[in-house]
Amino acid sequence: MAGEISFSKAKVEVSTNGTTWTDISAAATAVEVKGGDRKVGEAYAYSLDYPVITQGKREPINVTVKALYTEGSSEAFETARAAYEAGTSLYVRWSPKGGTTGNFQFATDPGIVTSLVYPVGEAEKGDPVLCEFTLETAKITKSVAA
Amino acid sequence: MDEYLVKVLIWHTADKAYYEPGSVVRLDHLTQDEIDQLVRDGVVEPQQKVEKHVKKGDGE
Repeated sequence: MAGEISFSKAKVEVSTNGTTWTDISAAATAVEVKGGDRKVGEAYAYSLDYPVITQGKREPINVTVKALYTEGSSEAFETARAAYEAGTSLYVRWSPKGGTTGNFQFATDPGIVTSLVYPVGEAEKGDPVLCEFTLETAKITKSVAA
Repeated sequence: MDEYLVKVLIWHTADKAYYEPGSVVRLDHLTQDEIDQLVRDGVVEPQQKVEKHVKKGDGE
């Protein structure tokens, strides 16, 4: 095989309008995607020994971004916090290979920030403070950086 | 400047904009090697150049 990649050099961006993107790769530590399953209907007819399967709609997708907590106004936490508290749209886009020419990138539709983990920690530990946010969106669209 | 037909959704890194399949774009910000790779990958396709034929008048 050829072309295997890891996620270690991914580029992660956020946007409040889907046009102007802010690169948060220096703070982002993980991206997770859940949901989006397509609903399937089924029915059994008397003369068939197997179900009749019909295609339904896709469910919403939840995208979670974990990031280092920083306090810059355009950085991950503040951007997500503002969208969460105001109930305004937030977009997330990421490129597993880093977003250079020819790389795939995946962008959410406008999403609603459904949860935000505020900065918390324990006194005895020296670990970086982390935050995370989850947004619910209708779909993710692939594009190619060119 | 050469123009290219977009075959799949692209994020144009110079224009900072998405272009849908069927759009025509310039890729002046990329090297020829990068453009050639995009063509090989089926991302864009060189536009056919249309030569302009100028019809001369009877008196010429």
